[in-house]
Amino acid sequence: MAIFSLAQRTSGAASSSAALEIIAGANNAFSLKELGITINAATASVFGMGQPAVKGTTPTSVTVLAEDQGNTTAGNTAGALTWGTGPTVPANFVRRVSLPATIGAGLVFTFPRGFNVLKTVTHVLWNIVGNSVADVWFVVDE
Amino acid sequence: MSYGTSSVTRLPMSGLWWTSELVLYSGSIRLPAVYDATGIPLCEIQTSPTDYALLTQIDLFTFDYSHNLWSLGVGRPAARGVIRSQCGIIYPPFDPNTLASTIVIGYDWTTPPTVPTNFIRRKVVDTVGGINTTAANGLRCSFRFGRGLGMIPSSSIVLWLITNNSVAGIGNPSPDTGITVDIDS
Repeated sequence: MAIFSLAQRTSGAASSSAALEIIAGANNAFSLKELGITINAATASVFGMGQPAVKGTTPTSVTVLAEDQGNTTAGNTAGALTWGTGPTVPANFVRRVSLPATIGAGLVFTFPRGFNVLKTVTHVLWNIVGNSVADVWFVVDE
Repeated sequence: MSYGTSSVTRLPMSGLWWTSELVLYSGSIRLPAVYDATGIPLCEIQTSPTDYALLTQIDLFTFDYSHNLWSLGVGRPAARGVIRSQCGIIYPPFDPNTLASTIVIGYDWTTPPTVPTNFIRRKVVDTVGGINTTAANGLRCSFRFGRGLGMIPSSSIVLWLITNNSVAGIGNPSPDTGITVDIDS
């Protein structure tokens, strides 16, 4: 098992849309260790995290980076901010957070035992209301 | 964990060979004023040609800070910089018998590092009250790496100022930043 991570500035902030989709590889599961959010505008923001009812199609994805520079095996998990067709809202959220209208407000969700996501499955950070764009990062163990 | 110059056993760890004598080093420096620049490196942590390292945390505290909004990122530069002068060498905080660190942290370059293609972490730091208000001292931005960011010899990690929504030239005091780096090497 190796640790990979990725940080991105979200672009989608509209109500009831995905801010970020974390996509497992075709043949590899991942264990989500943490997900961090800091908002970039003075906009009260409500985010949720969970498995989308339908995952996004044709995502523009970025592969995670190894935190161990000596690990030359590429990661399989990817993050996506835009899609041909975006993911749909999770039936239920596993985490929700409300952030004040303060630039820089944020938090880190941590999962000491890991939040395990199976191969080909995805996990979304969801804009429950119209949110601020945010600097986000996530750490996975593959 | 032993210190000093006893024999070293190299152990594999997820593809990276480490010595059995990882020692924690910690250092703090004050970075120079940034003013209104954006898209620049704030500091770079470099390994020597012979040593590996595990970066465990970066703590950044603002001082005399009146800019509106910073977005900070941590990542591996596309090209490592050439540090103009060694601005500080991280020494172990305790144990005078510990080997001196070979890690260099710099904030002044003849050739600056280039922006990482992708960042490992990014965070937004904001002043209290926004533009042209009393400088907000002591704002803290911390980056933690539970298992450490592995660094191979002759590599580097940069703390990058991604965006800087400041108001230029209105008599704003320049922000200074203290940074503490913990690193195993």
